[in-house]
Amino acid sequence: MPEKEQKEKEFIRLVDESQGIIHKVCRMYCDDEAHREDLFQEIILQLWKSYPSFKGESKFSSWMYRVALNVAIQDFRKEKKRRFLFLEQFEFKEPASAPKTGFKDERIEALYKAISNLDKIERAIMLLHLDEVPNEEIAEIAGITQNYVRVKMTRIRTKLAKTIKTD
Amino acid sequence: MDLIELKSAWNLLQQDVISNDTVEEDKIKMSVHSKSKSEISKIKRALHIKFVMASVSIVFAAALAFLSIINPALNPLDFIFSPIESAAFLGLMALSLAAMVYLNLQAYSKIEAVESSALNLKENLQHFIDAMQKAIAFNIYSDVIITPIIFTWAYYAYAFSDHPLDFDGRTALLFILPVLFGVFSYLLGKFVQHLKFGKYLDRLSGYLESLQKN
Repeated sequence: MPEKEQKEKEFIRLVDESQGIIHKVCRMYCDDEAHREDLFQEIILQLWKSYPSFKGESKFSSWMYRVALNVAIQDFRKEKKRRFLFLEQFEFKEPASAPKTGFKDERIEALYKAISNLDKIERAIMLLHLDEVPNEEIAEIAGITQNYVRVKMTRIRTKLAKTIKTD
Repeated sequence: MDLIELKSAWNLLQQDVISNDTVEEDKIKMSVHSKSKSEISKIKRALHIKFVMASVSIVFAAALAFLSIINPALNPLDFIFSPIESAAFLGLMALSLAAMVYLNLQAYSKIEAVESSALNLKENLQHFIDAMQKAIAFNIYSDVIITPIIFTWAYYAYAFSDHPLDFDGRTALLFILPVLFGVFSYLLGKFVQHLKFGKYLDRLSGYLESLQKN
């Protein structure tokens, strides 16, 4: 079997085993199914492109979080075209509201509502925290100090508390 | 809802993910071979097309300039320019296009580097914004280089078709026009790029700033 094919097979197996990470990122950043599917595809593609950079120095899951979150942060849906003569200006929409799919469990609905007021970086840190990734690893994935992770988490908690109060 | 309740909701969501979102290996394989729809990939594809077009044009312009000199009968612009003028115009075009290709390669390699890396969120944002800015600069400066040349030579062909070069207003315009066209192209290019990517880059810069406030 050619080396590239073998690498691809190995990559697909590894991604298949940890695909939950990608789905969770998609759930965190997308508010409809079509967007979720697009982001899923984009993350897989990006993981494959950067797979040669994975040297096993960090955990595969940590590497996956890094790439998947990078793609999700850079991903915006173009909306609300505004026209300037023959030129178009795009708005780049944040996934602000809860998914429109409607969950049976109101706790999940409440979770989405709470998350909807966080920006993309806060969502990334929140996701890692909810996934019980240790602070040290969160700091490594985000490229910030552990102390700043704690500061960020405090701010997120305050923001969440405000969201809950206003509800 | 406090963090503990959020965590229990998150666990519920994970179960939902496992039962509803899990895909087969085939779908992962299909995604590996799919075409990216991201902004940066679209920019990369546009750069690639411009690179091919500019490279072909360089060869074409240089060959025509050479032909105009060695055989004036083959001057492709004989309806406006003499063979020497044609060679100068085409040679200048080839040089300008070469400068464009250089800028293009710089932007392209930056994007390639970002695409194949797995940096942390902060570093990736820095590199991504840098690559986007390089691509935007390429789009602006390629117009700044080409537009003045084309318009100034068109003016030259029109204004000096039956007048020799002399120290008069026409000749002064020959020097002023490239600057004016250059400035106009720069401002227009900057405005267009801002409309296209300004808000996107502002968002990303905001995220980067929030990660830098250590």
